[in-house]
Amino acid sequence: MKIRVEQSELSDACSWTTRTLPARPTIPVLAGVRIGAEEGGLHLATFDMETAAKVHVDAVVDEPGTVVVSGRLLADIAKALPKQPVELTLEGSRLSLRCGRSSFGLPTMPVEEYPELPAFPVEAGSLPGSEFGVAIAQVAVAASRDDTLPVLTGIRVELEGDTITMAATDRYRLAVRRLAWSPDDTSISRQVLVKGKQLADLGRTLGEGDSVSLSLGDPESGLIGFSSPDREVVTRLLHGDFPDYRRLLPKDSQTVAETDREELIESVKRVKLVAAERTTPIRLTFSDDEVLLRAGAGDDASASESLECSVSGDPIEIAFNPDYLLDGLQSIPNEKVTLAFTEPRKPAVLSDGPDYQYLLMPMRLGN
Amino acid sequence: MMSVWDAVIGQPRAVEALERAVAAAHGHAASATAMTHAWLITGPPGSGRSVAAAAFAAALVCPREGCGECPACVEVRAGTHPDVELVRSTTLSHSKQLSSELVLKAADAPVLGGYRCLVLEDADRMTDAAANALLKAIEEPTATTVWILCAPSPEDLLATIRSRVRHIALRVPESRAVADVLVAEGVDRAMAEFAAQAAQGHIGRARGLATDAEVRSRRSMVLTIPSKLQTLGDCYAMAHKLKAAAEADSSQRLGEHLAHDREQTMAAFGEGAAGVSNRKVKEYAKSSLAELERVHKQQSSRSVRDELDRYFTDLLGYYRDVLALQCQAEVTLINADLRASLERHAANDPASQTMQRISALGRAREQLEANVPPALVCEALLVQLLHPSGN
Amino acid sequence: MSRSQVKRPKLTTRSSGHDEDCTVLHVDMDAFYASVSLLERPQLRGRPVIVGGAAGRGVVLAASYEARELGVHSAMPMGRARRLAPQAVVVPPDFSRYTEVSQGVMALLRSLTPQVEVLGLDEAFLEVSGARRRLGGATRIAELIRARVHDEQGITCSVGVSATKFVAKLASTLSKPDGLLVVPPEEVVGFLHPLPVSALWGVGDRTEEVLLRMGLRTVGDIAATPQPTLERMLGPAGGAHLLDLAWGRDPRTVEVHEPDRSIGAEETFGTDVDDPQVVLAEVLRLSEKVAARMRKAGYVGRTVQLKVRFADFTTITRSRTLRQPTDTGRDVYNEARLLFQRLGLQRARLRLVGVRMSGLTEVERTPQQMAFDPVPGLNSGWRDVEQAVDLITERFGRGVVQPARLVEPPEIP
Repeated sequence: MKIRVEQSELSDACSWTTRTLPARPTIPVLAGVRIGAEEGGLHLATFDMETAAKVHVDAVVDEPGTVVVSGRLLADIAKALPKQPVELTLEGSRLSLRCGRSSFGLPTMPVEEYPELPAFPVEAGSLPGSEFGVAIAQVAVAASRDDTLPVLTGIRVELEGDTITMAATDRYRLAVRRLAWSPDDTSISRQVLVKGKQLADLGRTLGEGDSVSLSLGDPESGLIGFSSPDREVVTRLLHGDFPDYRRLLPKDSQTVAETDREELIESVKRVKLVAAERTTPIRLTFSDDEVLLRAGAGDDASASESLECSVSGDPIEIAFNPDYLLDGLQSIPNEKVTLAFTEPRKPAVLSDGPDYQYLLMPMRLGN
Repeated sequence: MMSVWDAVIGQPRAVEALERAVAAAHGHAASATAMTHAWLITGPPGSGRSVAAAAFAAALVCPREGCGECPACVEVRAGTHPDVELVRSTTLSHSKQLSSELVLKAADAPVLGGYRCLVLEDADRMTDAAANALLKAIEEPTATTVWILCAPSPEDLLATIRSRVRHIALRVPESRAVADVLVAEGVDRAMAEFAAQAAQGHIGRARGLATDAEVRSRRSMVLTIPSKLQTLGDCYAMAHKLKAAAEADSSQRLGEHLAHDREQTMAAFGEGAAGVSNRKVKEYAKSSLAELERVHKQQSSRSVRDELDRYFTDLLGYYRDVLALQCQAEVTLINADLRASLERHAANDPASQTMQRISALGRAREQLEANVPPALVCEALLVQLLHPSGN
Repeated sequence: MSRSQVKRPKLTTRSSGHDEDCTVLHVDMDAFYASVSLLERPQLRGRPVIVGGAAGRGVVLAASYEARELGVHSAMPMGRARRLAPQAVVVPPDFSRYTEVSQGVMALLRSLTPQVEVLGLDEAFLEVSGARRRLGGATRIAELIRARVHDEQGITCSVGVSATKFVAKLASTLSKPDGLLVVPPEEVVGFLHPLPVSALWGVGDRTEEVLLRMGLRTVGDIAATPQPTLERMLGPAGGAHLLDLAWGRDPRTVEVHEPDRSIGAEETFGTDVDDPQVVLAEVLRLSEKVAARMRKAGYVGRTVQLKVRFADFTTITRSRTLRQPTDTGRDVYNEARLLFQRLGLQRARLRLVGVRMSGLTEVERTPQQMAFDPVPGLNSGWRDVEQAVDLITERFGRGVVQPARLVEPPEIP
């Protein structure tokens, strides 16, 4: 193998792929990055048995080939090199790296021990990367981290015509986000369950690109792929039936409040500070033009604050886990937040428009 | 033609059942019911439970039903196949934490199509909490997940797990089959036959005896114990020696493993790169190495017990031979090389005492399994070997 | 023989009658297990009776005074007891009955004063300095207790009355059976000093041996020994403690334990059961019962405890604490079932199972995170269902609505 590549290209590619490298690989070889050189360029690939990431780099390939070397070492070296062309050559069992007056020799690992990368599925459509990243973060916040119900650790992704709907719930809250995309086939109708943690990581790594494509295999396939022009990531799907979350969305509301989001967040944080335990509820009382926030149950509330707020409908008192409430408030990008209620024992809906809903079950203070 | 089943020695019936399952799993078999989603492979130590389980998993993910040559087969063998999870027990028990991780993996879709195989070796080492955590996942599997549990016998699992798995029983492979394997590996015929016989069908043990002079000399040391016990003092001295030998053996073996694993890990993080300080590589590998050390520590306690269990099995074979001579049974002696001392014992002791010694060995093995301190087990055992009717 | 013919309590008072400074009562049931067992078998009264497992195995749980005279005592192997008292009648224990009688007695004691320190099933201390004014003196209260225990429960008890717990307990022991002994403070020293050293609280076989070796035979001997000498013999704490006791000094007060905040139910099987399905069906029924009682009392609980008694009377309990407090039978059952499965019993023969919830807090004051329902495989939403069942049960009686698994299949002719 013999390649010439620009330092900045190599460095960017390395730092991107090595983000998915496991710090404590279950098998040593997974600490490696696989470099493949073929006509027209090279690619770097990593695979932690859950997610495979692959990036294409333009390069002059004098001699094709494949090697596996330590991912972090390569990334750190590439970053430190001067901004000049880098020459990679396989010499015996070493990959030599020359750039300007710097020279390194990296030991290689047996290529045949490196697991086969899953085949990349077929592209189904695309959407702007930044929007995709934001949407994932908004939904991932409600995914369960409790392994007793694996299905709930996933994010449901529904591709229906030109709309993508994503949903996640941990039984206490439900986040639903709708966004437009450009499907290759406008009659598409597919639903998959993606691992929450993996998708959240993906949202961060691919959210930077201009455009992201989604790829799916045939309905039995266990994979979903995401790609931007020279990068692709493929990850495992979860099996199992996601609950019918649409039934949970309330059809109407008795009380609707609108307030400044930042101010409400700050208030909740201050009131939460004095609460005795992490799970001490925060009580919100909406009436006339204000919302009163109190920590604790009963009359011995130890902290209270009030905030200006436009309220329409019946006054209501409702209690929440403050962390869950904050998660919802922080997932809304707008200045204003709308809170809609039906009853103190029924879910509240936080939203900033029709595209995002964060349903939150209240806390029961007593009978 | 090569096949993953080649590694499964002397188990024609089990292999046949598993091959039928694989054919059904690939959609071309007389009976689709030959395949199911949860399996239990049982057999005595050395019968090749984990080898059979790995072969089964490889055959399930291999497009050619276990050709042994394709990337899938090679990766399963190397432990790097993304859809095959091989869980080796390194500790005295499997924790609930491990079960929780497996439950999550059981919900995975296979990345390469086909099946997601979860192989749990030594399933008998699951704590009850660990077993209960697995119950639901085994009970309500996804269509593409296959559980393969291994244990010495079905009774070693909770009844609730047992009732949810299909059982494949391995038997002790015949000495002849074991000897053939060793010969194929380059051992000479006489040595192979001696080792296969002395190892009582335990393949790994036979390989050790055939290829490592130290293993042979340790066996000789253990098998002289019956002749050397004259006084209580002998018992305590020999017990100490036995335990020390087990510790030395296990720490040597584990030390080699650890050194090998460290080397592999350091290499994966780039040790030996020219122009790079090794400190940097150590920094990368830090968390992996810490994990290695932790696992190694956990292994050592288990490993001493495994080693002692091997010695006890040798002694069991010895007394079985004595009993065979006493009853004039027509069987091949396990320790034919020690015929003289076997005959001396057979002539001098009543058969009832031999029986008592055999049950003392059985008890000692149970105690090892039950976490009784090894020193105590050895002392109690040797005292009972000296005075079989003492208690 | 009817209960009225049972020997009446002696109601005799052995004391000088000065009980003004006596504020502590020790109430101790006489041969409790044996007496309760005799309630169902009045024809055995006056005969040596041994409570314990079946003949030939197990140990003596309790013996009637008649059996004790023959040398039988509790914890003795059954075989030996049978040899000592071949004429004795062996009856099996009935723990649910013991608990029932005990609860009756303790309820009676608490109706006299809230200051009750319960020690096991058959013993309690009472602090009566407040109750004396209302009920007229410690001796009167002791007599009242003895009469009412006899009339209400059909068994006898002995009561010691004094100014300290230690002397009160000694007094009840010395007045047994069926007696009452009052030891006013001014008589304590005279009462104590002739007693053997083993009468002192905390003097077991080992200490007794040490004391006897040094020539100390009576409590009076100890009282006359200098404290440093005793401390050298028994250690600083032990020496000082013994000297205090020998002079009738006992600073301990009656400690009223908060009645344990737990709600439980248990069931003794008619015949021993080894079928896990039968046991689990019972666990389900008990879980429903406990949850219904919690809801009625307005509590939610966090800790589920499972109790199992084997055919040989070995009893084990296992418990687990939930993430969220609950008052639904479904939650209680799920945990109890898990606890049962973790025992890994391979068809062991069981005599009794019990389910208990502790870590109780008032539902009114316990915030609970609500969950969406229903999510497959999860049990939220059961609370409403069970509350509806509570209402129906209240109106139509128990058993009208119950989990399907508890409905017995109709008999097929």
